[in-house]
Amino acid sequence: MNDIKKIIITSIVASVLLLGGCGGGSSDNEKPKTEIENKPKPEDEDKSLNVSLEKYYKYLWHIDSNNSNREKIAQKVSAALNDEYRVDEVSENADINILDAWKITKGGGVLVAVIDDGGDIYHEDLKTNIYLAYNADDDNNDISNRSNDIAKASHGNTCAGFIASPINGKGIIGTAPESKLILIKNNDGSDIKTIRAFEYAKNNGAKVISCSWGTDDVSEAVEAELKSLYDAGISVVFASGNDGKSLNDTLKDESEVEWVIGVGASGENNDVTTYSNYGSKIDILAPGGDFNTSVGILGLDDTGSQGSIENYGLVSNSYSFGSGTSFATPVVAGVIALMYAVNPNIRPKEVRDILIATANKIGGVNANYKNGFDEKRAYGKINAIKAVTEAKKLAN
Amino acid sequence: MKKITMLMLAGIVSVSYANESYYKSGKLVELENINISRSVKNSDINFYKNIYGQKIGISNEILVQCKEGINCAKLLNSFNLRNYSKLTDKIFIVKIEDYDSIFSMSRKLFESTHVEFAHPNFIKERKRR
Repeated sequence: MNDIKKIIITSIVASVLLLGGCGGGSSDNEKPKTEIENKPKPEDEDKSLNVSLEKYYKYLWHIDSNNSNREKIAQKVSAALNDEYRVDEVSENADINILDAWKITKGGGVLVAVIDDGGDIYHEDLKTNIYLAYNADDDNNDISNRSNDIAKASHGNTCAGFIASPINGKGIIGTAPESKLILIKNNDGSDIKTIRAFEYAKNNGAKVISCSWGTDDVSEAVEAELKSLYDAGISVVFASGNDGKSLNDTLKDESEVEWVIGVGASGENNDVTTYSNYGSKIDILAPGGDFNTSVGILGLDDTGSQGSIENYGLVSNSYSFGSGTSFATPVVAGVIALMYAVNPNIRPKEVRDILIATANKIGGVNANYKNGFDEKRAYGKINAIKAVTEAKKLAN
Repeated sequence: MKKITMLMLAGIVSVSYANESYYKSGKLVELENINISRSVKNSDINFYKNIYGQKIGISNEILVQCKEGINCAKLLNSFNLRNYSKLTDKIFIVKIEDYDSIFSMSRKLFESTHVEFAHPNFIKERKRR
């Protein structure tokens, strides 16, 4: 049955691309990728492309904060918004040390599932890395969001880009630019459909599952499913939320479940953001940016063909600045994909232990790490090269 | 005066009937019926509030996972529950004909001591983050 679905979506994608009806605005004549061509295999991208030639590379401070600092991107944003109160520079250390990690792997051969509210399978900076698309709400392959209401646009699109936007010169780069995606639409909120979404990811070979959402009250059935994924060797990542509150005295959130990696957001200043939820069960921080006070983090637009309204006039309509633990989470998912690429047999517990052990203890004098843990900063900010190196050592 | 007393009593009774409960991690959790319902794809969903005021929908299905070594199908049959299917290797979906018994049946299943959990299929607000 799944094979039939794969063929159907492949045919639809290929047909639409052949007709030139790409909503993402691709203007080149590249041959459309079929599902077979999109199948994950190690290191299948063009090695001649230099990451720094990516169109909006200077804005990717989570990838190369040294460069963003030199390019004074915060000043450019401030000028574009005529807002002098924004920070005037990005910290040189705000990135996650991923350029060195990419010298080892870019995630080829690893499947990452994104469970969210849909996506744009024609987006110019996503389409070549989509392996499967599935709508868990309606049990079909339509994951688009045709609503004209921008507030209901595809948040999942942006999240997916932070994982697997390829190195293709078009816009941005995901943290695992050679990994492949399983995009799963699951907006319904019912436990049954949530579990179906996870099962689809598992049954189709995902090694990492990225979830930039939460309910503030995880059900026992969902928690049991997360345990079964953990036991099956799949790492699941959840966003902690954006209320700036402690999760310790609330009902158990998905991001606090023992079997997942809970993610908070760091900012352009290389410290935890003020909005990031925290608590004793949150594991790690990653760049999520702060759209309200600083630059934000540049990702794929979440509005599909409607075009972005948050590009400050600095980038095109296919990209937008935003912020949130939603975006920190796929940054982490991509790094975990790199770990699976160098060590396909790594276990979720080992992934978590390595991420924690190798994290950068950010926050300076404001931080108070006890046994490696700071209440607001968890175990610190993810360090990609160290995490990948340790994962590789385990494989040997 | 009599009327007011009667109304107050009726109010108290209706509130006590409005609340429902299920087991979570072995503890009873109470939900308040907020008397909102809607029909989605021929399935009725009633809405409740938890102690934090979060709105939670309940459909006519229960999710059950039996303890290791328990024959779940046999257990469900013993409760006269025939309309069930497997959601995963371990989790069953049980459709309940009588919506009003969703919570009581969930509790009975849990109190059998043979299940890890038994709770209604919750429909919760999915917050983007």
